[in-house]
Amino acid sequence: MKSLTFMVVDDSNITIKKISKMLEDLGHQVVCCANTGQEAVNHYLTYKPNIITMDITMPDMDGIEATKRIIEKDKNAIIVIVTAHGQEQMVIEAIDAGAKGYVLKPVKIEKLKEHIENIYKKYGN
Amino acid sequence: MALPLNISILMEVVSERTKSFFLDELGISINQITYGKESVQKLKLRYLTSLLAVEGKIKLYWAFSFDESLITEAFKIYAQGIDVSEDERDDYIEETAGDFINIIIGNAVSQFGEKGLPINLSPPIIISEGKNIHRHRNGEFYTTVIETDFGKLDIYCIGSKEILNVDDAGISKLK
Repeated sequence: MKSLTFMVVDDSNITIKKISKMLEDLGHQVVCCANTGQEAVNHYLTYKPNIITMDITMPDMDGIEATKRIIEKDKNAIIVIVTAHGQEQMVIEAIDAGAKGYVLKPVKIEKLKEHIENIYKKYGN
Repeated sequence: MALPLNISILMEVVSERTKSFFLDELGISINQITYGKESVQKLKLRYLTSLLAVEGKIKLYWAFSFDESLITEAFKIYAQGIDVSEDERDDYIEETAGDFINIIIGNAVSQFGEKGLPINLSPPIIISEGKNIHRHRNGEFYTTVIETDFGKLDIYCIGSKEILNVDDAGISKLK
Protein backbone atom coordinates (compact mmCIF):
# COMPACT_ATOMS: atom_id res chain seq x y z
CA MET A 1 0.00 0.00 0.00
CA LYS A 2 1.07 3.62 -0.38
CA SER A 3 2.88 5.48 2.37
CA LEU A 4 0.47 7.23 4.75
CA THR A 5 0.90 10.02 7.29
CA PHE A 6 0.03 9.41 10.94
CA MET A 7 -0.54 11.21 14.21
CA VAL A 8 0.19 8.95 17.22
CA VAL A 9 -1.68 9.88 20.41
CA ASP A 10 -0.74 8.25 23.72
CA ASP A 11 0.18 9.49 27.19
CA SER A 12 3.16 7.11 27.28
CA ASN A 13 6.16 8.32 25.31
CA ILE A 14 7.64 4.85 25.13
CA THR A 15 4.40 3.61 23.55
CA ILE A 16 4.50 6.50 21.07
CA LYS A 17 8.04 5.48 20.13
CA LYS A 18 7.09 1.81 19.79
CA ILE A 19 4.04 2.51 17.60
CA SER A 20 5.95 5.10 15.54
CA LYS A 21 8.75 2.58 14.92
CA MET A 22 6.24 -0.02 13.73
CA LEU A 23 4.55 2.48 11.41
CA GLU A 24 7.89 3.60 9.99
CA ASP A 25 8.94 -0.03 9.51
CA LEU A 26 5.71 -0.45 7.52
CA GLY A 27 6.78 2.44 5.27
CA HIS A 28 4.56 5.14 6.76
CA GLN A 29 5.43 8.54 8.17
CA VAL A 30 4.59 9.84 11.65
CA VAL A 31 4.08 13.58 11.22
CA CYS A 32 2.93 14.43 14.72
CA CYS A 33 2.53 12.96 18.22
CA ALA A 34 0.37 14.01 21.16
CA ASN A 35 0.28 13.01 24.84
CA THR A 36 -3.29 14.09 25.60
CA GLY A 37 -6.62 14.22 23.83
CA GLN A 38 -6.57 18.01 23.91
CA GLU A 39 -3.16 18.12 22.21
CA ALA A 40 -4.47 15.77 19.53
CA VAL A 41 -7.48 18.01 18.87
CA ASN A 42 -5.21 21.06 18.73
CA HIS A 43 -2.74 19.43 16.30
CA TYR A 44 -5.16 17.68 13.96
CA LEU A 45 -6.01 20.52 11.57
CA THR A 46 -2.39 21.65 11.40
CA TYR A 47 -1.03 18.29 10.28
CA LYS A 48 -4.13 16.62 8.74
CA PRO A 49 -2.64 13.10 8.91
CA ASN A 50 -4.20 10.29 6.87
CA ILE A 51 -4.76 8.27 10.05
CA ILE A 52 -4.70 8.94 13.80
CA THR A 53 -3.88 6.21 16.32
CA MET A 54 -5.64 7.20 19.54
CA ASP A 55 -5.22 5.85 23.07
CA ILE A 56 -8.29 6.01 25.33
CA THR A 57 -6.96 6.51 28.85
CA MET A 58 -5.13 9.82 28.99
CA PRO A 59 -5.00 12.76 31.36
CA ASP A 60 -6.64 16.06 30.41
CA MET A 61 -9.01 14.67 27.75
CA ASP A 62 -9.54 10.97 27.02
CA GLY A 63 -9.41 9.40 23.57
CA ILE A 64 -13.17 8.98 23.22
CA GLU A 65 -13.81 12.69 23.78
CA ALA A 66 -10.87 13.64 21.53
CA THR A 67 -12.28 11.40 18.79
CA LYS A 68 -15.67 13.15 19.03
CA ARG A 69 -14.02 16.60 18.86
CA ILE A 70 -11.87 15.71 15.85
CA ILE A 71 -14.82 14.18 14.01
CA GLU A 72 -16.76 17.41 14.67
CA LYS A 73 -13.98 19.30 12.88
CA ASP A 74 -13.58 16.75 10.07
CA LYS A 75 -16.13 14.00 9.63
CA ASN A 76 -13.76 12.15 7.30
CA ALA A 77 -10.95 11.87 9.86
CA ILE A 78 -9.76 8.28 10.18
CA ILE A 79 -9.16 7.45 13.83
CA VAL A 80 -8.06 4.05 15.02
CA ILE A 81 -8.30 3.47 18.75
CA VAL A 82 -5.18 1.75 20.08
CA THR A 83 -5.78 0.89 23.71
CA ALA A 84 -5.30 -1.69 26.42
CA HIS A 85 -8.95 -1.39 27.37
CA GLY A 86 -10.51 -4.71 26.44
CA GLN A 87 -14.09 -4.14 27.49
CA GLU A 88 -16.67 -4.59 24.75
CA GLN A 89 -18.63 -1.58 26.00
CA MET A 90 -15.60 0.63 25.41
CA VAL A 91 -15.32 -0.57 21.78
CA ILE A 92 -18.97 0.41 21.26
CA GLU A 93 -18.35 3.87 22.79
CA ALA A 94 -15.32 4.40 20.56
CA ILE A 95 -17.18 3.43 17.39
CA ASP A 96 -20.14 5.62 18.44
CA ALA A 97 -17.70 8.50 18.87
CA GLY A 98 -16.59 8.08 15.25
CA ALA A 99 -13.54 5.80 15.45
CA LYS A 100 -13.10 3.57 12.41
CA GLY A 101 -11.20 0.79 14.14
CA TYR A 102 -9.99 -0.62 17.44
CA VAL A 103 -6.63 -2.28 18.10
CA LEU A 104 -5.98 -3.89 21.47
CA LYS A 105 -2.60 -3.41 23.15
CA PRO A 106 -0.06 -4.93 23.31
CA VAL A 107 0.34 -3.91 19.67
CA LYS A 108 1.98 -6.28 17.22
CA ILE A 109 3.23 -5.01 13.87
CA GLU A 110 1.26 -7.64 11.88
CA LYS A 111 -1.97 -6.71 13.68
CA LEU A 112 -1.36 -3.00 13.13
CA LYS A 113 -0.59 -3.53 9.44
CA GLU A 114 -3.76 -5.55 8.88
CA HIS A 115 -5.99 -2.98 10.63
CA ILE A 116 -4.44 -0.04 8.80
CA GLU A 117 -4.77 -1.68 5.40
CA ASN A 118 -8.38 -2.71 5.97
CA ILE A 119 -9.42 0.64 7.39
CA TYR A 120 -7.67 2.73 4.76
CA LYS A 121 -9.10 0.56 1.98
CA LYS A 122 -12.58 1.16 3.40
CA TYR A 123 -12.39 4.81 4.45
CA GLY A 124 -9.37 6.34 2.68
CA ASN A 125 -9.75 8.83 -0.19
CA MET B 1 -17.31 -6.28 38.85
CA ALA B 2 -20.48 -7.80 40.13
CA LEU B 3 -21.39 -11.03 41.85
CA PRO B 4 -20.44 -13.86 41.75
CA LEU B 5 -16.85 -12.62 41.28
CA ASN B 6 -14.77 -12.50 44.41
CA ILE B 7 -11.39 -11.07 45.19
CA SER B 8 -9.66 -14.46 44.80
CA ILE B 9 -10.98 -14.76 41.26
CA LEU B 10 -9.98 -11.19 40.38
CA MET B 11 -6.46 -11.82 41.67
CA GLU B 12 -6.26 -15.04 39.68
CA VAL B 13 -7.46 -13.33 36.48
CA VAL B 14 -4.89 -10.55 36.84
CA SER B 15 -2.08 -12.95 37.80
CA GLU B 16 -2.75 -15.17 34.78
CA ARG B 17 -2.83 -12.11 32.50
CA THR B 18 0.48 -11.03 34.00
CA LYS B 19 1.98 -14.46 33.42
CA SER B 20 0.91 -14.46 29.75
CA PHE B 21 2.10 -10.88 29.20
CA PHE B 22 5.52 -11.56 30.69
CA LEU B 23 5.96 -14.72 28.68
CA ASP B 24 4.48 -13.59 25.34
CA GLU B 25 5.73 -10.00 25.26
CA LEU B 26 8.97 -10.19 27.22
CA GLY B 27 9.98 -13.84 27.11
CA ILE B 28 10.19 -13.86 30.92
CA SER B 29 8.86 -17.00 32.59
CA ILE B 30 7.05 -16.89 35.90
CA ASN B 31 8.54 -19.39 38.33
CA GLN B 32 5.93 -19.08 41.04
CA ILE B 33 2.73 -17.25 41.89
CA THR B 34 1.82 -16.95 45.57
CA TYR B 35 -1.69 -15.79 46.33
CA GLY B 36 -2.26 -13.92 49.57
CA LYS B 37 -5.69 -15.07 50.67
CA GLU B 38 -6.03 -12.55 53.45
CA SER B 39 -5.86 -8.81 53.51
CA VAL B 40 -2.60 -7.26 54.65
CA GLN B 41 -1.98 -4.35 56.99
CA LYS B 42 0.40 -2.37 54.84
CA LEU B 43 1.94 -2.36 51.41
CA LYS B 44 5.72 -2.65 51.48
CA LEU B 45 6.56 -1.24 48.11
CA ARG B 46 9.49 -2.46 46.06
CA TYR B 47 11.79 -0.30 43.88
CA LEU B 48 9.13 0.97 41.44
CA THR B 49 5.36 0.85 41.74
CA SER B 50 2.67 1.66 39.20
CA LEU B 51 -0.89 2.21 40.35
CA LEU B 52 -4.21 2.79 38.61
CA ALA B 53 -7.88 3.03 39.50
CA VAL B 54 -10.56 0.89 37.90
CA GLU B 55 -13.98 2.46 38.18
CA GLY B 56 -17.25 0.85 37.18
CA LYS B 57 -20.06 0.06 39.55
CA ILE B 58 -17.38 0.04 42.23
CA LYS B 59 -13.89 1.50 42.48
CA LEU B 60 -10.77 -0.58 43.00
CA TYR B 61 -7.12 0.36 42.87
CA TRP B 62 -4.49 -1.96 41.47
CA ALA B 63 -0.76 -1.62 42.11
CA PHE B 64 2.21 -3.44 40.55
CA SER B 65 5.39 -3.16 42.62
CA PHE B 66 8.60 -4.26 40.88
CA ASP B 67 12.06 -5.23 42.04
CA GLU B 68 14.66 -3.01 40.37
CA SER B 69 16.30 -5.99 38.63
CA LEU B 70 12.98 -7.13 37.17
CA ILE B 71 11.76 -3.79 35.82
CA THR B 72 15.24 -3.05 34.44
CA GLU B 73 15.35 -6.34 32.54
CA ALA B 74 11.74 -5.97 31.41
CA PHE B 75 12.44 -2.44 30.14
CA LYS B 76 15.48 -3.65 28.19
CA ILE B 77 13.30 -6.13 26.33
CA TYR B 78 10.24 -3.86 25.99
CA ALA B 79 12.30 -1.00 24.54
CA GLN B 80 14.23 -3.17 22.08
CA GLY B 81 14.54 -1.50 18.69
CA ILE B 82 13.76 2.04 19.83
CA ASP B 83 16.23 4.80 20.56
CA VAL B 84 16.37 5.80 24.21
CA SER B 85 19.01 8.29 25.28
CA GLU B 86 20.66 8.01 28.69
CA ASP B 87 18.77 11.17 29.79
CA GLU B 88 15.43 9.59 28.98
CA ARG B 89 16.16 6.15 30.42
CA ASP B 90 14.78 6.59 33.96
CA ASP B 91 11.60 8.26 32.70
CA TYR B 92 11.09 5.47 30.19
CA ILE B 93 11.57 2.78 32.82
CA GLU B 94 8.81 4.46 34.83
CA GLU B 95 6.60 4.63 31.73
CA THR B 96 7.27 0.94 31.13
CA ALA B 97 5.91 0.13 34.59
CA GLY B 98 2.88 2.29 33.75
CA ASP B 99 2.40 0.58 30.40
CA PHE B 100 2.53 -2.87 31.99
CA ILE B 101 -0.21 -2.21 34.55
CA ASN B 102 -2.29 -0.39 31.94
CA ILE B 103 -2.08 -3.27 29.46
CA ILE B 104 -2.55 -6.09 31.97
CA ILE B 105 -5.42 -4.55 33.94
CA GLY B 106 -6.93 -3.01 30.78
CA ASN B 107 -7.00 -6.40 29.06
CA ALA B 108 -8.37 -8.03 32.21
CA VAL B 109 -11.39 -5.76 32.68
CA SER B 110 -13.29 -7.75 30.06
CA GLN B 111 -13.22 -10.57 32.64
CA PHE B 112 -14.27 -8.40 35.57
CA GLY B 113 -17.88 -9.25 34.95
CA GLU B 114 -19.59 -5.92 34.38
CA LYS B 115 -21.58 -6.29 31.19
CA GLY B 116 -23.00 -3.19 29.53
CA LEU B 117 -21.54 -0.72 32.02
CA PRO B 118 -18.37 1.09 30.95
CA ILE B 119 -15.38 0.54 33.21
CA ASN B 120 -13.03 3.50 33.33
CA LEU B 121 -9.31 3.19 33.93
CA SER B 122 -7.28 6.07 35.29
CA PRO B 123 -3.92 6.90 33.76
CA PRO B 124 -1.25 5.07 35.80
CA ILE B 125 0.71 6.90 38.46
CA ILE B 126 4.24 5.90 39.44
CA ILE B 127 5.71 5.69 42.93
CA SER B 128 9.49 5.40 42.88
CA GLU B 129 11.90 4.38 45.61
CA GLY B 130 9.80 2.07 47.74
CA LYS B 131 7.75 3.39 50.58
CA ASN B 132 5.14 1.80 52.78
CA ILE B 133 1.44 2.51 52.47
CA HIS B 134 -0.51 1.78 55.62
CA ARG B 135 -4.06 0.55 55.53
CA HIS B 136 -6.72 3.14 56.10
CA ARG B 137 -9.42 2.21 58.62
CA ASN B 138 -11.78 1.18 55.84
CA GLY B 139 -9.11 -0.02 53.42
CA GLU B 140 -8.39 -3.60 52.38
CA PHE B 141 -5.22 -4.75 50.58
CA TYR B 142 -4.84 -8.12 48.86
CA THR B 143 -1.53 -9.36 47.52
CA THR B 144 -0.14 -11.77 44.96
CA VAL B 145 3.61 -12.27 44.59
CA ILE B 146 5.00 -13.16 41.16
CA GLU B 147 8.51 -14.60 41.08
CA THR B 148 10.82 -14.63 38.07
CA ASP B 149 14.52 -15.27 37.50
CA PHE B 150 15.00 -11.49 37.47
CA GLY B 151 13.20 -10.65 40.70
CA LYS B 152 9.73 -10.26 42.14
CA LEU B 153 6.58 -8.35 41.31
CA ASP B 154 3.87 -7.77 43.93
CA ILE B 155 0.35 -7.26 42.66
CA TYR B 156 -1.99 -5.45 45.03
CA CYS B 157 -5.72 -5.03 44.83
CA ILE B 158 -6.90 -2.20 47.04
CA GLY B 159 -10.51 -1.53 47.95
CA SER B 160 -12.62 -0.47 50.85
CA LYS B 161 -14.33 -2.70 53.37
CA GLU B 162 -17.62 -1.54 51.87
CA ILE B 163 -16.58 -3.23 48.63
CA LEU B 164 -14.45 -6.14 49.77
CA ASN B 165 -15.52 -8.41 52.60
CA VAL B 166 -14.67 -11.82 53.96
CA ASP B 167 -17.26 -14.56 54.12
CA ASP B 168 -17.45 -17.38 56.70
CA ALA B 169 -15.10 -19.57 54.68
CA GLY B 170 -12.47 -16.84 54.77
CA ILE B 171 -12.91 -15.92 51.11
CA SER B 172 -12.99 -12.24 50.39
CA LYS B 173 -15.90 -11.35 48.18
CA LEU B 174 -17.03 -8.30 46.37
CA LYS B 175 -20.32 -7.22 47.88
